[in-house]
Amino acid sequence: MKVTDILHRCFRCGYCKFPSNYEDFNCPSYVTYRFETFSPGGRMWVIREWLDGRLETSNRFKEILYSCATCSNCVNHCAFPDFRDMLLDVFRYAKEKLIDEGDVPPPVRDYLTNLYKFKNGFGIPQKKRFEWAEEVEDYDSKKHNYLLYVGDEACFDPVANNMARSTVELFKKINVPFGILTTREISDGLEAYNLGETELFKEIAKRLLEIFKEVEAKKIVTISPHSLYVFKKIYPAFFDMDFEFYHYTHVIRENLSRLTNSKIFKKISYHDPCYLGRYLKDYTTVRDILSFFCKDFLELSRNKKNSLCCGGGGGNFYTALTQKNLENSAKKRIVEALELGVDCLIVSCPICLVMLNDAKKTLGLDDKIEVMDVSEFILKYV
Amino acid sequence: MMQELIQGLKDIVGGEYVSTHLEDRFFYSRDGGTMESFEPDVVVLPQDSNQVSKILSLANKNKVPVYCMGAGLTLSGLHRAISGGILIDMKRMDKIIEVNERSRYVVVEAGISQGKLQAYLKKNYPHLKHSMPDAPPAATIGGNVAIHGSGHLSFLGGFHSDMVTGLEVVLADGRIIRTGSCSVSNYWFAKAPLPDLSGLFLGWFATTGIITKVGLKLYPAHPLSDVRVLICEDPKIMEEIIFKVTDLNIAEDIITWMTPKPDWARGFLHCNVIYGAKTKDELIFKRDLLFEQVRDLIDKKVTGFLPLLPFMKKRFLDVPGKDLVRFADVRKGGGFEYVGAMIPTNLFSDAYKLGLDIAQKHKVAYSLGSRIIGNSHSMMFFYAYAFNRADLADVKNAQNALYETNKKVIDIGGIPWKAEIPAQKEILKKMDKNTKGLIFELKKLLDPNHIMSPGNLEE
Ligand SMILES: Cc1cc2nc3c(=O)[nH]c(=O)nc-3n(C[C@H](O)[C@H](O)[C@H](O)COP(=O)(O)OP(=O)(O)OC[C@H]3O[C@@H](n4cnc5c(N)ncnc54)[C@H](O)[C@@H]3O)c2cc1C
Ligand code: SF4
Ligand code: SF4
Repeated sequence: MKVTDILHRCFRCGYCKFPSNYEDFNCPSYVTYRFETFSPGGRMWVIREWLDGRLETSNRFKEILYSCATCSNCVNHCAFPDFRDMLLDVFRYAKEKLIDEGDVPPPVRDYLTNLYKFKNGFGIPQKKRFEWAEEVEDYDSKKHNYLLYVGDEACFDPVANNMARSTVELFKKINVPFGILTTREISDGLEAYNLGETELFKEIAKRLLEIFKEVEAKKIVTISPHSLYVFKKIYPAFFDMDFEFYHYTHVIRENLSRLTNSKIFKKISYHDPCYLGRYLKDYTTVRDILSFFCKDFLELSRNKKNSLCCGGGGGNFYTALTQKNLENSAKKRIVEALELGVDCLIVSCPICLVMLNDAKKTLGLDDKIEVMDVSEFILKYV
Repeated sequence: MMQELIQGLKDIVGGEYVSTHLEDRFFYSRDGGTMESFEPDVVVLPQDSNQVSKILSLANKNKVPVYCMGAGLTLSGLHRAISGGILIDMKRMDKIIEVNERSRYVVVEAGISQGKLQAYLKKNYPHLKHSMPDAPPAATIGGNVAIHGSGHLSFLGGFHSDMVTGLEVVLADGRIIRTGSCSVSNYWFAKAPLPDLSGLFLGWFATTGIITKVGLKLYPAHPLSDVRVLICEDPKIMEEIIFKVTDLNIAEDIITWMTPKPDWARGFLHCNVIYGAKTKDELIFKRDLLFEQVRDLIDKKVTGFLPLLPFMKKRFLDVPGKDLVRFADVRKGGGFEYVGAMIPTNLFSDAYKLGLDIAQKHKVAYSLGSRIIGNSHSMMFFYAYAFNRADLADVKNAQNALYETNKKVIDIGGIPWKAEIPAQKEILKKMDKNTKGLIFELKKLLDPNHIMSPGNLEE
């Protein structure tokens, strides 16, 4: 089935905007903008008009397309199983066309330019990527079980970087033999793919795979679920490859016996990241770890496949389109966690970590709740 | 003038919630049904009653038309801006203001979705529920009561407009008024014993005011529920089944359905009887009562209970049910529209035959059914026709079938519900002259500048 075959099949019924129990809107871009055009069905209808030439490319149209956080809530909740798996392909198809026209919003253009020039989306020279990791060994296939792929956000964003540092420290503490690509790591390219710049994505992916091969990597561990997803599901669609991929929480769970099982008396909850949860259907790893340590693990009512996205996916971490208005999903998430009565909201994705920490600060709730990733949490409290 | 008006709207709700973009005007110009597009000049998203009041004052001063949309899910294109102007999307007004547990009512802002209210009650008041339509969960409470909707408790409680205990409404000049007990007391418990002003706003297609708050009856939510499906081949027998089952009075919801797909359902009439219970014993007792009630028909071999696999049971008990929405894809084309006709229950056979004849004549993919309302005083009989949106001839064919259905429904003594504009005209044609005159006078009184949903309820 071609993406253009399903465009007219959207009934604009709006199931895709909700979680399974319908408790509130669950499409982060719709939560921010609140115009129907920013909902999944709205996108379908507007894209159809645009492809048929009844709407021209405009700034609004570009904003509608690029504020999709690729959270995949719509794919999971659209009422039509025959075509819902293709919703994001439709949105990407339209973005690819915009890229072909060379007409994308300035923050998208800036991100892609950075990626092209610097091999990371931050536009920071590559030599600074691992300034924080001078103590970490370069990956050596003979010595190390795992190659730790850290990724752009956890290397360059100061808040997300805490997550990388903690993971490194924790891996050392539990004697996991690992190394990093001290001089060679580059972006995983997922956001280029999501933003419709497929050629740049392919170029980056090809190079990264060559690097993985050059260092004879076998087991690759990622910090970001976004990296894990693109390695496991998108790269193989373009390239032959033979690696094993893991998320850092998989390694922690494997090695739980090396940590003391001291029960932590904190009320905590977990925010499922879209790319580990809805995309890779892993809802258990982090819960296994947290329940190993915590007596009071509480579930947010929007959890697992119903998780409310932080709004950072699909390049929005860089472009901030989902953060344009006062209301946004990250703030809603913090309020939900507070209403649940937890002291600490755990994440397992660098983008969620930054988005939710920002939201907490903007809401002036810094002293009311902690937002931290699994490694930070274990290091601080176990 | 338009520029000034738009700036005025931005001052009221904030710039980010006002749009004149072509993309938004396009999307809001129509719905998922067959009715042609009418673009508003501007779409605005207010957050509270005061903002709605200011928007209407401004529009009234400038004599600019105002249309109102909840989720735009009627499929009859009722929110379309026939004369352009302002379209208000109500969905930012979605707060739950009060639940009165003992008096079993809830007060909500009108733009709240059915889904949000359902989830809130399940979580916080699991022993209470409201009557959900089978519309997609985005449908708003305000939009649904405004068109006399019906749903899962309609056999118990009648139309959803009957379940209204009070309203807050913004009039065309911006005045905010209340109807029912909440106009006198702090409590929103009933429309009685006052003059029932709610009737001025229910069934008027937003031509008399914009509902901003709704007091709505809640009902006991039983922990257990079950569904039994009676089948027969003769619509006259179905009339008999409905009479018997409604006489028993155990059901919360009674739905009939007739579709050519799946194959095993073709040619049969089905009646789903849904009931709740506090205990397993009560559930079994009700099941046995139901069996006894129709035993003579079963003995005559004119009806029987459909054996139900667990997945079918779950589908029938899902609230809202997704079967009807999925009908939109039978032509792989993203569309259906239905005539929902309010018909006295005794006309079941005529209503059914009418649907089959029209479906055959127009060769349109159909699904027929009905929901029994308020102890069988009436039913909402639906004639749903699917079409492929990418095929304009197919859309036109469905539109013709709908138009003819509306006319025939009136001929047999029913009244099209949530009527498309052409069907509104047909209803008015048939209406008692003095009644119609009063409707027009009331509209004029409440909206002297004719800014409220012009094009609706007009000859
Ligand atoms: C698959 C499917 C199944 C359905 N099943 C049912 C069902 O079981 N029962 C049922 O009742 N309906 C059903 N419907 C019809 C319809 O979707 C619902 O009635 C829905 O609740 C309408 O609400 P809305 O918010 O979409 O209203 P809209 O379509 O937005 O508006 C309906 C009308 O009310 C006016 N209006 C909206 N909000 C206000 C307000 N605040 N104040 C004044 N006027 C207002 C509008 O101008 C318009 O005239 C179904 C529809 C579909 C697509
Ligand atoms: S994407 Fe699916 S669920 Fe969403 S409006 Fe379209 S058909 Fe309905
Ligand atoms: S992927 Fe997420 S953000 Fe994008 S349209 Fe679907 S629900 Fe909305």
